[in-house]
Amino acid sequence: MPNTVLETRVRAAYRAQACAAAISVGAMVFSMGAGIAITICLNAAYISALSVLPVTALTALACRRSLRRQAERSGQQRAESGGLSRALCVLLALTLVACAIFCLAALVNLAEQSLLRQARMTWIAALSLLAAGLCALSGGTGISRLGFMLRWILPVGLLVLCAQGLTLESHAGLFPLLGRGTSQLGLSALAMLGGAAPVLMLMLPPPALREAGEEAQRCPVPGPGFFMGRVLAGAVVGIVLLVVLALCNSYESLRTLQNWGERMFILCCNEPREGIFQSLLTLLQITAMMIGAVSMICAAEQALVRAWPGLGAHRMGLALCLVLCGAAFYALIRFGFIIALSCAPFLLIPLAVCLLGSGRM
Amino acid sequence: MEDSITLCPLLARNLEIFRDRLGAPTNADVIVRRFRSGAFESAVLAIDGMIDAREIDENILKPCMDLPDTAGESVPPAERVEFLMAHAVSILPMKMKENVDEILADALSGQSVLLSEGCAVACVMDTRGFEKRSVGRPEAEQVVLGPHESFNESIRTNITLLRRIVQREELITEFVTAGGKMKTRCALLYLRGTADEAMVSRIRGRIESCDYDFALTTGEIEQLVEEHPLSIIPQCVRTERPDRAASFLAEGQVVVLTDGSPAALGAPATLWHQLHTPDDASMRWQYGTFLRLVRLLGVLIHVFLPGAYLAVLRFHPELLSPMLLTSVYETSSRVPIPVYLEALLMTLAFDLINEAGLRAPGAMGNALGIVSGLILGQSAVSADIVSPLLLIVVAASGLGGFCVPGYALSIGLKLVQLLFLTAGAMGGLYAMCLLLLCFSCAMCMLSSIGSPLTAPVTPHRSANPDILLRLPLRFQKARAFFAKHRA
Amino acid sequence: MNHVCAKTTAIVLMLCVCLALLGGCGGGQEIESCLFVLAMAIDPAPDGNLTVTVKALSGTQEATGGGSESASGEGTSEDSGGGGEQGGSMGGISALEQAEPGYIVLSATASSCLRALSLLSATTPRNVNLSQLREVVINRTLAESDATLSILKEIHSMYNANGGAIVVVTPDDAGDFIRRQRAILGIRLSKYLEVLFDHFAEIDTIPPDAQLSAVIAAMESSTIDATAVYAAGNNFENTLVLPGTSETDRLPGHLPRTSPAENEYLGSALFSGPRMTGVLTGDETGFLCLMMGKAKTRTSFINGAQYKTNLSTRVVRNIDKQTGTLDIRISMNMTLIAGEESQTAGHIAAQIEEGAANVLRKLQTASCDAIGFGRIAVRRSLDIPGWESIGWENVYVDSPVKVTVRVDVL
Repeated sequence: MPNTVLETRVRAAYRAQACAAAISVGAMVFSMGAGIAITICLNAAYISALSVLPVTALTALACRRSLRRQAERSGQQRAESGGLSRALCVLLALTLVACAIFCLAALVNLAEQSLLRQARMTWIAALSLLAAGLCALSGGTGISRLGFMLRWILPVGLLVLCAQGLTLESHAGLFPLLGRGTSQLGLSALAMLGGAAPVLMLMLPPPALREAGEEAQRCPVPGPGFFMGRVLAGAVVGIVLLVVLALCNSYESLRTLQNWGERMFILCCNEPREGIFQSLLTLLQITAMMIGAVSMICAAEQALVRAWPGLGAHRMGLALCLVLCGAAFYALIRFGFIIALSCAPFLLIPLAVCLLGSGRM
Repeated sequence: MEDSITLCPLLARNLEIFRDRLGAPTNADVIVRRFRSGAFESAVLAIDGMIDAREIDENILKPCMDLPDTAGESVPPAERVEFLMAHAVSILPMKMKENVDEILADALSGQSVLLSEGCAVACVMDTRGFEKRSVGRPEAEQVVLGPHESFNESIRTNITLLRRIVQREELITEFVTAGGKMKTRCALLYLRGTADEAMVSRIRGRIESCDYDFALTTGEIEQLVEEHPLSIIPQCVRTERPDRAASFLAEGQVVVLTDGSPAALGAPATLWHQLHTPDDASMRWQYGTFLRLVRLLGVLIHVFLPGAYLAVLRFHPELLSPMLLTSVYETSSRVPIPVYLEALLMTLAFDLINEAGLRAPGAMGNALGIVSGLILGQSAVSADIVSPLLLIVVAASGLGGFCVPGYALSIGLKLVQLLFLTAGAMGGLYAMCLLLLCFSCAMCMLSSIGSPLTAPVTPHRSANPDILLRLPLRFQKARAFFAKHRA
Repeated sequence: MNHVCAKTTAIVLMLCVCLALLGGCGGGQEIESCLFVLAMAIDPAPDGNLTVTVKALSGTQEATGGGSESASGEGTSEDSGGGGEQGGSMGGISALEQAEPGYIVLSATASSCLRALSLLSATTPRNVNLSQLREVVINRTLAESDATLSILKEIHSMYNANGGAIVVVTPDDAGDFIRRQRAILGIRLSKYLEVLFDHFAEIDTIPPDAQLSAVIAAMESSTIDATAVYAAGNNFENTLVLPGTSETDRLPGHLPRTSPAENEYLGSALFSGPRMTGVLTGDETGFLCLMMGKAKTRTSFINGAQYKTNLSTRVVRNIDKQTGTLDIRISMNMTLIAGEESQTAGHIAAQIEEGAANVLRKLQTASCDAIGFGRIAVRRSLDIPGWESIGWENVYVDSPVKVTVRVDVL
């Protein structure tokens, strides 16, 4: 295949992966904001979420550096990478699985509060896990291509539907500007830092390159702005949705909402929440969360196979990731989703470790 | 398996081999005619009914038998057949062969075989003269504007129809055979320099490696060459229109014709190819775009409407306006079966009517639609077996299904519709959304002869503005992304 | 590879089949198993109980007998089917009018609204579905207590009630109020109610933000207060035409008219937090809409002349930083449609200013910040503790008011 054609296709694969990462980050930021930041600082959650932007940019840069180093090494060198690399891959996989579990938990809670109010949580969780597994069967290529196809539809659709629920007086929801106060704002900003963890999926090259062969894997990696721009855009969309959440509801209303799903669902609630627009909005939210979760599961599978190539046979890596997700969900349903919300801020720790070790991948 | 054998110089021995293989004299279709051609003996072997007897008489037998008795005396025995071809036989398409299996396959396809005494080579001449259908109108791809010719069962006629449109020296026709015991002759057509050679060789290899006993139709060839046989969505595009097949060639695709099938296969194909019709290009761009959008709306209604209706009724009644809800509530109260079963029954009934209309002969088929639709539907509503709104939903969905240009794709979408119906009944809009995501992921992974099915939308490839909207022709300057040279 | 692919597909399909078998856990229900409530009424009952009356779709076109009586305490309900059984052990009379064709009226009494609704579900027997709710009528006595917010929140969150349902307060028996409610024009009560509320909102005789979700949000908010529609049944005996005032400058129930539609929707119920604290007449509600900036193009009668008015600029609301004055500035165009112009633009403006200022003071007396000055005041606080320490409710009541109107007569 001529070099220019191959490079174009490699670039397309990176682009698709970056779009999937952007959607994942946006979904993670919004879910964490609605689940954690709002409980801490109420309507100023969007301000605390801004802390995720520099971490996202830094993570994207580190991932790009790691990709470049991997491209420079040959396949033989990659296969012979040592124990540290293997450990990092395992840590990366576990981090991504944790992020996927968080996204799926948010999705399940949102569905339970909005579209399936009469359904049992176990059933919704089983349905969601099954769907995630089916989507992940097609490999990271399928979900990243889908993310690429929806790269405009999702954010524009979400923002347009949100906008139709706002009025001239909606700005009142932003006040008081600092919510519960600066100390709470700072605490919430710290908690939100883990929202950049989904960007770690960019640390591994797209699966399509592996299938395309050695020549494709050695093609030059796009520049830093290529990845950073996209994931930052995704994070910004997540933050904008938190702004809309504040615009639609006074701080008193937010204070009374105890349920995570309800906090996400009340988006666009200036207008009565029933109706086709609200349903479409919820469906778009669910789509973004599912794409995020599946992308991270596929990336985790890839990381596990990198650590233990034997797991590549019969998609054992994927099965392991899904089993982990299933076990985690069982625990969350049994003991409460508060566990997921409490543990999410600690994603910062493995994120930091992966960033430090990105050169050794 | 027997080792393939070649001809020997003895005419009688060769004829004995052929008679033995063809089962003559029990097989009454075998014709063996021995005659004197100049200074030596010759024979013609053919299958009755497959040949044009007049052509054989006038262009082979008569000229050979009219040769003087001394003609060919000095010709070496091994060159006698060539001598006859040069001096007596006046048939244009011919090949020299010595492999018995190949010669037999040619004879069975309607060609005549000329053998001579002392010569271990035979000449196979195209003297086909079997009955075939004339070029008619397309049955499943009718258009308002544009040509009205369609392919028929003769591969030669089909190739001719294409060559009339694509009069280019780069147009290559390669014959390949598919199948094990009963070989089916296929033709690969492509534009040299436009179609990617790797892609051509991939298709050629897949057809030739078919080891089924027989692969009779284009549909079977398609199922044997595609990469994802378990997929609901077809990965090649089928057409019975020569003009459409010609557009495939111009795009850089390979067109596969099958002897005995009145359809051509275009590969690789994208999902968007399967949603286009020739009318889109024939009309002005505004009408073409509008019709394409209407068609897309029809597809969406076909796939999603019944499931969405069930989902709204069972899980999201707040989406209905109160007046509509009142009407549905009153009618549903009288129907004795759950709404999911009701929907399945109606969908099945629609498919039954469809199928019966196709199979019923002639005028009965037309009347059947009216009888079934009006009388049965009306009766079902009057008897409170189904609700009128569900009847409308199923009918609208069925109409949307008829908008799908490709018959194979419409069947696939029909199955998808049933899945969405079930998802809507089980889990409302949530389950439908999840199912849509699963399907979309699976479709994004599908490929057609190595090209992604959902390209050029995803993965991104540069393309003409002719995917969903049909912009003016002056903006369409490049070939499809899988062509070798896009300009 | 194909073998693996087929095996994977088989496993996945088996999982899907298993899931389908669990489809009963999905929570879907046939439409005929629901009781779609269009109007709901809540009255106080003895011993701290509540009586909930609902008007729902019956699913037939036959008229059903209306009836309700409930025992107190534990609560019982009676299905108002064709027979109309008599009440429970405490006696009581169920001599009420027939529900119109297509609708059924049911009621239940229990210690809370949720328990009453679940009692209705259990005895109807259908699942109560409030997604088509158009009207929530609350008895005034109940509205003047603290219970309203919790009742409204219960039905909104637990029963997924339609957030666009209009909240109505009535001094009458709320159950009787919805029994009287019929579609006198057209055949569908839901459409009739929709058009009714749209019409009254167009002529500014009912408050603009009386939807259920807006009322709940305002009741919870510390920066704005809720308003609901005020309505009552006409007693038909009162035909008094008060001189010097317009026909809508009064409360409902006393309009000099006769009509098959006994219920009259006119004016606003004012809330301070969760509690009702005052009412406005129809005309006063018009001034309220004007000051909120939500007045539509309307027709005004001034000294026998008919004017068409619309707002040419936004209404500007402000709180003076030094004096704390609640300042409203309105600019409007008026076009003379009929009659003779007997007053100048300045006189008209002065009349409107006086009317608006009176309404604003009335709101202050009722401690109801329906206009939303709190939303302006909150911007001056950086955080929630700072805002809550101001004690806006008290500041609002004591603030001076100033209304400035500019009128251009075209």
